[in-house]
Amino acid sequence: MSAQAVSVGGLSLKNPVLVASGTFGYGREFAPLFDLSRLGGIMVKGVSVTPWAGNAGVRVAETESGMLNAIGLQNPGLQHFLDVDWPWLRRFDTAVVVNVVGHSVAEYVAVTEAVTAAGVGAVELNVSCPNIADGLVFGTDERALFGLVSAVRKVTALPLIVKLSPNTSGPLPYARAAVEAGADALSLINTVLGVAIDRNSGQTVLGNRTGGLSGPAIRPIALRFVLEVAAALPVDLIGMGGIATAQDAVSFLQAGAGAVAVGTALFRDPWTALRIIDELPAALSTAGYQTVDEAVGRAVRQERERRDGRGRS
Amino acid sequence: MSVSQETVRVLERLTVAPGVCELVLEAPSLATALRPGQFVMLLSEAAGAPYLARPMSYFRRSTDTISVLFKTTGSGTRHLAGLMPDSRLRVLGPLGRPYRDPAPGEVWLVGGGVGVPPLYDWALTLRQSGHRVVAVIGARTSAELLAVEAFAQAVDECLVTTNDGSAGRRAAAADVLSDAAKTVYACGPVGMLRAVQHWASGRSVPTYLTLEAHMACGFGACLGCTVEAAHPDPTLGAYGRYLRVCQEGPTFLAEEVTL
Ligand SMILES: Cc1cc2nc3c(=O)[nH]c(=O)nc-3n(C[C@H](O)[C@H](O)[C@H](O)COP(=O)(O)OP(=O)(O)OC[C@H]3O[C@@H](n4cnc5c(N)ncnc54)[C@H](O)[C@@H]3O)c2cc1C
Ligand SMILES: Cc1cc2nc3c(=O)[nH]c(=O)nc-3n(C[C@H](O)[C@H](O)[C@H](O)COP(=O)(O)O)c2cc1C
Ligand code: FES
Repeated sequence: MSAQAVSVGGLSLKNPVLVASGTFGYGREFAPLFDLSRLGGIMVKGVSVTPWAGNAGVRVAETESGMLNAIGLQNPGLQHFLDVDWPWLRRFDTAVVVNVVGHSVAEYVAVTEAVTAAGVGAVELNVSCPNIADGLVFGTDERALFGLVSAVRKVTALPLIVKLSPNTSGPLPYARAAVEAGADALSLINTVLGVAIDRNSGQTVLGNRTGGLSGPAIRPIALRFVLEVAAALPVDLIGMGGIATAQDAVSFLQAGAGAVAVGTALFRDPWTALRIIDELPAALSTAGYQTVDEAVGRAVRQERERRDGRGRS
Repeated sequence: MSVSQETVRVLERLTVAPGVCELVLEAPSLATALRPGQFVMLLSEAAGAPYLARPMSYFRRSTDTISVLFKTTGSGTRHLAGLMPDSRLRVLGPLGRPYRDPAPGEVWLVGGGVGVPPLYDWALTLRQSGHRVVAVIGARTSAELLAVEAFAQAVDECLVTTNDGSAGRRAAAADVLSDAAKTVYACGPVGMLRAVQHWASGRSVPTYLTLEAHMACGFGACLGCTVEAAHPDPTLGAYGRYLRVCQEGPTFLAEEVTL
């Protein structure tokens, strides 16, 4: 096993750098730019049972150090993924993680069952969707989250990753609910809800009014989520939120993530994930580590001691 | 030619009109790779530069330079307009589909305000391949007219329109379109594009509209830049409702999109 190889939630990765869901499509736009097999893994755009149109109006807005998006999970749906995208993607020697979205437990279950049968690498549940039955967002209601993850767990033996929403008072109740329901790993974090107002019209910029904030602006929030969960629960974590350099990736490893995903930074420079993969060994050795595993959780011990009242005062 | 991202040098910064700037960039490989109708994403890494890259059509090119011509409208264009010669920019391109070839007969190019840049190199290309080309350059007032001399030299006939009559004909650019036009390419404010689209409806003149949209990536990955499809592909279900301006566009047939 190379010094770069890691395993998260039972998913083996040749290196700890993935690309985040919704920032890489199904890989096609990037395939002419570089060999997708170099990536640790690809977390594909959210897949729903039926095709979703996405939101009308303006879908992206810039902020000082990031962006808001209100794409609305536009995707061609499960059948298209199975017929067109997966047969094409599976030729690459990289872990393919299918991000699953739905409006009901049954929809998440249906997509998970089908992609499990197709033999993808892992399933990642995007739980930042509202349940059509009661309007509650799965990821911000512990019981709804537990119910969803338990139901999906029953239909898949693949590594099951639950992607937590940061739009809660803190990660722990949700992280616990997901793990107790059978999640093998957690992705931290999804986008942070926000609004942009147009200075000329005084109206919201985004057609959907609210959008998800991503990019460097949310990196400290993501690090806090990773550190807090890593200190409290023995579960593998994939860290994401504003990662743009190898040093950013090292910070997430130190906070307790076993792997990282690069998202919005790819829009500025589509080769960002490759650069991080190339520069990570040097960044790790500068920080005094031989392997990725050595770096993981360096900040966690201190966090546990502090929490248990045994740390330095 | 596949997409690349190069760090290029600003050679010149020309103030073309109040609030309008032309940046000349040293970019030999892009200068050969770009096709008329394509665009680039400009990213500045200088202090104070905005986070996202800005989409821009290219205006002119030589063997080793390209230029962009733009109006200062907000933080990004203000930053670009303040770049001094010798500063660096990262340029991603070529992006978008090139213009599709015209039908036989007279080609009309309709440029409104800062919509003229992509049409200029196309005019040169069309003339070279023997087409008769008419350009309509429009703006609200004479002060906002752009590149009139350049077009006047490049095409067979150049018509100028202003909304207030301060130069050329007092008309909207779309109003001077005539049945002599056998193919139309239009780029400009959405109001102008709608007028051109209206002109085209019921005629069998291929009419191409070059659109703008807010973009995060420019290469098809974010799904941020969508426009509504007029005739969604039925095999795609709801997914077919929107098209990506950066990937399926930026130029569409008038009947392909709902503006
Ligand atoms: C394919 C394409 C080609 C273009 N070519 C030209 C050109 O040749 N000359 C020219 O003057 N302009 C052109 N534009 C428009 C240009 O991209 C915008 O004027 C510019 O992005 C505005 O940025 P800003 O920071 O100054 O404005 P701000 O309003 O501060 O921008 C805020 C955000 O909104 C986006 N945005 C705002 N207005 C527009 C717009 N009209 N189109 C796209 N994004 C917008 C910005 O990119 C940025 O992300 C083109 C746009 C596209 C999509
Ligand atoms: C344009 C865009 C689309 C996204 N789509 C999805 C999605 O379909 N499913 C999902 O779980 N997360 C989605 N995300 C969230 C990202 O995967 C990631 O969690 C978040 O953006 C934080 O990482 P970043 O700051 O590196 O982008 C999307 C983010 C962006 C910017
Ligand atoms: S700008 Fe990202 S898909 Fe068009």
